[in-house]
Amino acid sequence: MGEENAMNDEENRGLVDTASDLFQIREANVAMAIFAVFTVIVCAINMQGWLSVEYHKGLDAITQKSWVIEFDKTTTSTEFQDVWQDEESRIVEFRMDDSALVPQAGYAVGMINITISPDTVDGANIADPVGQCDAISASVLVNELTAQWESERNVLSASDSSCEDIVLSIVVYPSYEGETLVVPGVNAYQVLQPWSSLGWGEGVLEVQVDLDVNTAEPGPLATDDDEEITITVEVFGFIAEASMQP
Amino acid sequence: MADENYETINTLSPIASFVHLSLGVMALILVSRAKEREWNERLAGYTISWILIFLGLQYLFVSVLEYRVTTRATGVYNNYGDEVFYTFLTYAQRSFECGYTIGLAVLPLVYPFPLIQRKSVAKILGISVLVLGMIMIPFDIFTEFSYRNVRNLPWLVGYVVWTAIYVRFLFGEMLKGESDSRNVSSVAALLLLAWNGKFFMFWLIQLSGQSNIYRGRFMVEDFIDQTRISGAAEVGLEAIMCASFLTLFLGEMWRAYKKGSSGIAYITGGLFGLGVIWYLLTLVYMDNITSCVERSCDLLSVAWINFYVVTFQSMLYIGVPLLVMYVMLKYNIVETDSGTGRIIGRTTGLLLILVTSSTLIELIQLILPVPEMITSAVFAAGVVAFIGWEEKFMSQLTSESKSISESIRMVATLPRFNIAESEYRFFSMSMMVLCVYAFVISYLFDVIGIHQ
Repeated sequence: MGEENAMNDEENRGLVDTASDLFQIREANVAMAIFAVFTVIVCAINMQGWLSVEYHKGLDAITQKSWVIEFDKTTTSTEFQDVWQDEESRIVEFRMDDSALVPQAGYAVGMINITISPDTVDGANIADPVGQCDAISASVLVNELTAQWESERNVLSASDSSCEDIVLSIVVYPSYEGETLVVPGVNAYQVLQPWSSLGWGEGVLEVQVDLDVNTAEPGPLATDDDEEITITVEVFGFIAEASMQP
Repeated sequence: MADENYETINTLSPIASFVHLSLGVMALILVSRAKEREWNERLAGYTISWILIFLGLQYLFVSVLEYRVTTRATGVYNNYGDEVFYTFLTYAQRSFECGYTIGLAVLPLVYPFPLIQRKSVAKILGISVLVLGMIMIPFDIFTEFSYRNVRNLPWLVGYVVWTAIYVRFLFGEMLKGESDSRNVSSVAALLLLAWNGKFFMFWLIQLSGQSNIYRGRFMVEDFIDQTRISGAAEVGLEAIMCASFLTLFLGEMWRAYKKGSSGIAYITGGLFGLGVIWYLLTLVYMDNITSCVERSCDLLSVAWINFYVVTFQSMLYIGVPLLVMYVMLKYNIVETDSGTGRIIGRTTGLLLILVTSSTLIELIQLILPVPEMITSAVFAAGVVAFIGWEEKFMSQLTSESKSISESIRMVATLPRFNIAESEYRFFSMSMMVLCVYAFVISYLFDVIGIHQ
């Protein structure tokens, strides 16, 4: 071509003319055709992948749904039995990693119940035929045990002088009540996240029990100056399962 | 920034803003002095200068947003939370991004091979810029940026036109012996690499469909997720981007095989390798990347983020001005031959090299625990070496500069138009009006509180 192609002045050229300059080499046009076909194929394959798979996955991941969370529960327990002397105050420790208390694998500790049972039944026994019940007071000592110590549902201390069991309880896992819940969420993983934390219920449970023996026998002759007390610790474990609400 | 995993993201944006704005203004001065250049080169000069200014302003707002934001999703894109999302800062950042997109849509129509060969080209482009801006910026803000990729569709013009120009002139050189065609094909390749090199490094991810997995993740973690159409538009853009890169790569490898290697061959080869590394990195961190869709969003790993910053963001913030200014100086778009033009040209070169090299050294320091004393010494050595060679380097660059229009005229038709200065001013003014419009409309929408 060369210089003869240079137009000296001012002549407009249409798009067809300029495009014809661009597509004047046959081999280059073949390459451009391959470029176009390749683009269409890649676009079609990826578009299919996007619209039929990944888009729906993404949409599913951002759409809020209602989930039913149910708790599968297990209970493990241990007992401590001993005789308390009159006016004796004693702290009994229960290690939470004791094999009798540790819930089965995968389960988290939801709450702990402590039952303090006096030996006296119906207020009368051989030593104390009149049936005076002893005064027992019990409390769970706040310590390093990882639990919800501030929960309003805790019963950390109680006392009794009517031969009834004393029941104390501590909520260990945050917000755990053991009841089935319905919650919003985008997927099962996310709604189960609040129920998958580790580390709750670790440490030592300390239960303080004080005994004040009540007896009808005269002082120096009194034989009822002690009480056999049983402390039962029950650990309620749980594992949460989520299913989409129909 | 909310999480230390992401502390390196956008650390380059303040310096990038300064570099882009400075270069844009200096290029504008140099272009306005280059009255002897061909009409398409002058229009290209104005367009590129304004694109740099748009990018500089966009990065300025990115920098301010980065300081303002305290909570952030796990994403690496600009997915700031509601504390800044519906504010002037975000509106302005996205509006200047629109300006950049518009500039990128009109540039391939005139440079290097002008598809619009009419005397009224400056008016046509000026009006197109204004109309596109009037529509695109409010559309983007009204839709809460959820059609981001639909808005980016004008990029297609660049991919298609520059690739076609590259192929045409490469084949002209290789098969028809048109030696001057190399100038045109290399400019087309450099422009493709400058504006899109940051995306080209994901070519294998795009080809293999892994990008859909990232798209799924971003759908979850974006503050406002992209619409289905926007996602589909992105798939289309990626397909053509991938095809464009592979065309460039194969073309350069063919040319390197036949005629010996060139700088462009090295750059495309490097991007090819980076593409493979990115693909492997995605496989390694697949569980991490899919976490948003499968479970709940885990932060992307520090290694992934650092590699992203070193490759993608370096190309975005540093690579673009380097390559663009190289094109402007090497291919004679700006006037640096005498007097003030020469001084501004040299200042531009110094600014570009020194600022970018110091920034890169800082970046390395962020990622690798290299003592400051060592990096300072390396930087000082670099400065000394550069100042020593600067004059020779710059004079070589400008003296070997080539006119693309003359190269085109050797093989194709290119009319000579005597376009009036007022028409160039009209085009430049329309870009400036777009800039002011982007700023004002962002402020007004914020004041009106359209999303509240």
